[in-house]
Amino acid sequence: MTHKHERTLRVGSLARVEGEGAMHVRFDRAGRVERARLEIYEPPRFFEAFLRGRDYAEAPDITARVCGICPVAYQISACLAMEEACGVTVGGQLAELRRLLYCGEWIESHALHIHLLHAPDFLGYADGIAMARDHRAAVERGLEIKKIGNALMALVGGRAIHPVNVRVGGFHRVPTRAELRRFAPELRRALELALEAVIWVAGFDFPEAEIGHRLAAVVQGDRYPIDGGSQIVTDAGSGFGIEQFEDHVIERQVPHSTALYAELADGGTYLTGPLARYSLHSAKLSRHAAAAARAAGLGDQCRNPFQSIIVRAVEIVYAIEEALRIIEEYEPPERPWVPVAPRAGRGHGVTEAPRGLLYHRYDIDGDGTIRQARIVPPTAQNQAAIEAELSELVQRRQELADAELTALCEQAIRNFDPCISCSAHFLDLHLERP
Amino acid sequence: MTPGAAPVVIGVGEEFRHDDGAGPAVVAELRKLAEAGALPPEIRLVTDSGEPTGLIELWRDAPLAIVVDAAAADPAAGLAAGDVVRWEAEYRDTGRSPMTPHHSTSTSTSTSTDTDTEQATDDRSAAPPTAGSPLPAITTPAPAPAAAHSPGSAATHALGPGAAIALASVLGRLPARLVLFAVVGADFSLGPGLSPHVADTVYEVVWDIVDEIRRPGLPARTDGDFLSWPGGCTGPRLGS
Repeated sequence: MTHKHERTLRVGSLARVEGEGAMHVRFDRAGRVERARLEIYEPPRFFEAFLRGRDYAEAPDITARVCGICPVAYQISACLAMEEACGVTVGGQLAELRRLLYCGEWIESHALHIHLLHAPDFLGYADGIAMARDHRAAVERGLEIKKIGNALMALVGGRAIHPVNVRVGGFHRVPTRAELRRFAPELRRALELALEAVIWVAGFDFPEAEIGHRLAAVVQGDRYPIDGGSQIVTDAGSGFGIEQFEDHVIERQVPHSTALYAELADGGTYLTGPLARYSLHSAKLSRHAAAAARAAGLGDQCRNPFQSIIVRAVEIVYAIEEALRIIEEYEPPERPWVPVAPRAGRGHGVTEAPRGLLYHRYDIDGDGTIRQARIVPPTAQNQAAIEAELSELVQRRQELADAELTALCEQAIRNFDPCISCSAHFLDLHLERP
Repeated sequence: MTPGAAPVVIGVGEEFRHDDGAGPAVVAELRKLAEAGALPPEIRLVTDSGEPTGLIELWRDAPLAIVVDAAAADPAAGLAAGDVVRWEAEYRDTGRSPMTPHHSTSTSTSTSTDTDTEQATDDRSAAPPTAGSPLPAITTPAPAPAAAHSPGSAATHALGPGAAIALASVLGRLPARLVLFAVVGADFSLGPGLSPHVADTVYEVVWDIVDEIRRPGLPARTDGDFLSWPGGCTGPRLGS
C-alpha cells in the first residue's frame, strides 16, 4: 500500500471491458477520495462528423460500425430516427422482426459479459480462461447461449457482426416462416441454459451496495423496452418525449475522456442499462423471466450494481422468450420493407442497447442528405455515474489494501459493462498562445 | 459434412487499418483461387474480427484450421515488416511441445500448465510450453496502454487468436490441426491498403496455405490438380 496520505490507485488498461479505458482514483491528505475517474482514451471515432453529407439510407450501415458487440442497437436507432424524419412508421411483422434481431444481440452480448467478462470477478479468477479450467461447464454454457444469439442475428440480419440485412423501412429480405420455426428448438435449448445461468449467478456473493443515482429507461408501451419507444422515464417519476432528449440530457466534455459526459438537466448523474430497465419495467417481464428473477431473489427493483449480473441473466431469459413468441406468431410481411421517401426534417430514435439507452438524432435535407447527426451511447451517459459509484465505493472500503481495492474497483466498473468504443467522441482542441 | 468438419482458413484483421488487413487480404486471394476451382470446394474461407468465442466456433471440429493475422514485432526479435512467422499447435497426446504464439499480448503463458484432470485427459488440449522456444516475441497491434495484460484479462479489443487458442485449449475445442501465420506489419494506422512489404508477403502466405492444404490427410479434389493455378500460371495471380 502506498503512503496513506498520498494514496493513488491506478489501472492503466481496464480488463474485460469493450474498448480501451483506464481508471484513476486519488485520495487527498485527509483520506477522502479527491477524484475517481474512468479515463476513456479510445481514439475519437468521428461518426457524427462523417455522417454529414451522406445519404439518409446509409446511416444504419455506417453507424453499425460504431460497435461490433451491439451493431443492431445502432442500426435500429438510426432506422427509427430516419423514419420519423420522413414521417413513416414501421409496424407489424417488420417491427417484430426488428425486435427479434435485437433479441439476438441482447442474448449474445449479455452471455459474453456474464460468462467470460464478469463472472471471474465473483469467483476469484483473473480472467475467463482461468475460470474455465475450474468451471468448464459454465463457460461452455455461456458460449452455447452466445452462439445461439449470434445465430439468431445471422438468421434475421444476414450475419452476426455488423448485420447487412437492415435498411431504413425494414429489411432487404425477410425470413420465411419455416426458416424461423426451424430455429425455435435452438431457442428452447437456449432458454434452458439461460435459466441455469440465472441460478448460477444468483449464487455468487454480492457486496452491499446501492445505486444512488437516477435510473432512466425507454418506455415501450406494455413491453419490456428493447427496440424503440417514444418516451424516457426515470425512477423519480419524471418523463419526457424522445424529441426532448437534448433538452433534458446535457453533454459536456471533460479532459480525461474522449467520451462526453451526460447528465440530466434537472437531476445530475443518471444510469441507464439493465438495472434501470429492470427497476422501471420488471412488471413487464415474461413468465419465465419473472419467475427466474424471483427465484434469484430479486424484488421489483434492483439497485445493487453488483447484482447487475443477475439482471443480465434474467434479460437473456426474457430475450429468448420474446424471440420464441415472435417466431411463433410470425407471418411474413407482404414486402420486406416499406417505402421511406426522404423529406426535409428531423428524426429521433431511441432503443435499449444491451448496455443501456442509445439515442440518435438526424437532420436531413429534402433529398435525404444528412446535415446533422447526434449519437449519445449508453456508456457516455453512464460514465459520470460509474465514477460516482467508484468514488463512493473506495471511500467506503478504503481499509482494503491497494491490490484488493483496485480489483474491487475494476469489478465495480465491469458491473456496468461499459462499451468504451461506443462512447468515444472527439475532444475539441483549443490552443492558447501568449 | 457439417460446416465445422471442413478445413477452414480464417483471415483475422481489419482491412481499414492498413497492415492489420493482411489476414483478410490473404483470404481474398484464396477466394480467387477457389472461384477458379483451384482449391477443394469444401475449404471454408472466412474473415473474422478475431473475437475469441467467434474463432472457437469457426474452427470447432475442423480437421484443419489456418489462422492468418497481422502482428507487431518486438524490435529486438529481429523481424521486419513482411516477415512471416508460422506456428502449429501441437497437442498433449502427441508428446510434442505446443505452439507458443506470442500473439496478442500473448498466449505463451495461457496454454495451460495446470494439472486439472479434465484437461489433462483431453486430446484437444495443448501441452505446456517448453523452454527455449525459438519463436520471437511479437504482439498484435494493440494500443500501447493495453500492453501489460495477459490475454484473458485484457480489454476485449486486445483479445485475439492467442486468447482464443488458450480458451479453446482449456475447453478442448481446438481443431485437429491448427496453424497460425503471423504477418509482421509496419503500419496499423487508419486507412485501406497494405504497406509494400506486407502486400508482397500476402502472396507467399497464400502459397504456404496451399501447401498446408496439400498435406496428407486432407481432402483433395478428385482430379488431383487443385494446385494447377487458373490460366496456366505457375503460381497464384495475386493482386489482379
